[in-house]
Amino acid sequence: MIAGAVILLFFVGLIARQKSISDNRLAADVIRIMESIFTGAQVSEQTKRLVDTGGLADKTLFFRCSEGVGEYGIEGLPARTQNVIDSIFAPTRLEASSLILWSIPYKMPFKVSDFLFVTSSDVKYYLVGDGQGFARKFIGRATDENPQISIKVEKVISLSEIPKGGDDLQYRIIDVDGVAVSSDSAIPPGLRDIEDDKVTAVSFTGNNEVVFFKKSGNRWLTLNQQPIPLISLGSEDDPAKQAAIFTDDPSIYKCNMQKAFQRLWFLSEVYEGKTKELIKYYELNPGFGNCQGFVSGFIANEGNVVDNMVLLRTRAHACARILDNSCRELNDYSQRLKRLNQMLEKECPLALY
Amino acid sequence: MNKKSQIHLSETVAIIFIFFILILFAAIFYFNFQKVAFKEKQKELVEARAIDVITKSLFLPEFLCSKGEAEPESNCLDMMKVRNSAKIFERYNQTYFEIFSYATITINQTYPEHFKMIVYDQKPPVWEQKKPTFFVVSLKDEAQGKDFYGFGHLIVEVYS
Repeated sequence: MIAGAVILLFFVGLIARQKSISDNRLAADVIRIMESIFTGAQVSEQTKRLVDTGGLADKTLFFRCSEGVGEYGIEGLPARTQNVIDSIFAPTRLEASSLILWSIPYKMPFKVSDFLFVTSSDVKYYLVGDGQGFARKFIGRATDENPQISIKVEKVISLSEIPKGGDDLQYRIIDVDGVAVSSDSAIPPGLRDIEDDKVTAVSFTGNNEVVFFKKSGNRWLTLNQQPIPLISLGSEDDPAKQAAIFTDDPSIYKCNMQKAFQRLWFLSEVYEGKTKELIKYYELNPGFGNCQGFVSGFIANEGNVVDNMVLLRTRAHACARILDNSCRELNDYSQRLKRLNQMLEKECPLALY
Repeated sequence: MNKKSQIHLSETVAIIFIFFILILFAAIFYFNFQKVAFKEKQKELVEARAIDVITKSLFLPEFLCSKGEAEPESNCLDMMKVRNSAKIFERYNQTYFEIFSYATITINQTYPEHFKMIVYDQKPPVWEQKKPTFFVVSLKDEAQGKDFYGFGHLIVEVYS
């Protein structure tokens, strides 16, 4: 009997240990595969992809970013992956049987990075306001003929239109005009009975800034006291604005934007090197009218490529550390470089990008 | 009675001894099996990393051939950027290590002139195997004239 008990104990211990090892191994495999899928999805710009995570339906994925290091993994399991390069915008916690991955290029004015948005069909987005056509365009891009990769987004005239929601979904309000959601204002009646953690909002102010909110009882609680400036060229799909829709935490948003600015800083140095080659080319081939002036002279109102590139690099370097209102200058330098590049494309054989 | 207990005790000790001998055999077999499985897994991971690195390299903004606001040219590397990227990868080595890890990235132009250029080289202090992956690319070098395209390979070697 003693021998039997010892043997039984041995096997019980072995099974418990093996179970924990295989759980951790499975989590590590899942994270590794997710990393590869995220890489593939990120480089396929302007596309949406579905990732079936049925096997993880009862688990919660988490996404974090602090001090320039992004991290994602499965809650309660040690496997996780860290990343200091790629900007991934996702809800802080995501419980879903499938993920929708959407990649959009971030350009300032040349391509800096691909922003990856992670969401699921278990997140419902309500857009209120028009935002000078942004709402309509966003719905057009977010939805798809294929229901599996179609993001659940609906436009409402006012928040009171939102129907009573169930606890199985996460809800995100997108106030594109910056008037429907404010600190301490009331939660829409349809969402009052939902758990606090499952209702969040984002508000875009007229000053091109973003404020994040979460539900706290029957009121909205502001998550960032200082509005965060939106740094982008404001193209049709405005990646910086869309990024704020897909993440629910202002510090994660800032951290991911700072990663993009760090990349912009490095890329500015690459383009500064390319500019030197352009100067050399136009010195050797002086017959191209204004081209040398656009690159390093004083012909255009926008200044020249060399000077704007230095300003862009210096500001990107600073913004990679602190994202504040001074980062709006990045928009100006990028606009000028964009116009100079258009002039180069129109009048000269070689352009900057 | 005492003798009977002694026999029982001896039996228990013998059974546990035999059991642990069997467990030892099983453990030896299991560890050998795990060793082989570990090597297989390592190989699989290196292959996956090679694919990841080449995917990232082909779409890297530091390399790609842009065309103003239009879509970038696929499978094309802008040599005016590549030449400068090599310096940036060295200067900000820690950040780019996050993208490429332990790898060597070489551009091998085969047409019109043959040349080789190592743009990233980070070898581990000790490594057992090297997995090279080749990808055919066009090499745009407008420093030599508008629309000047060469032809070659992007070679990514990952180490483990």
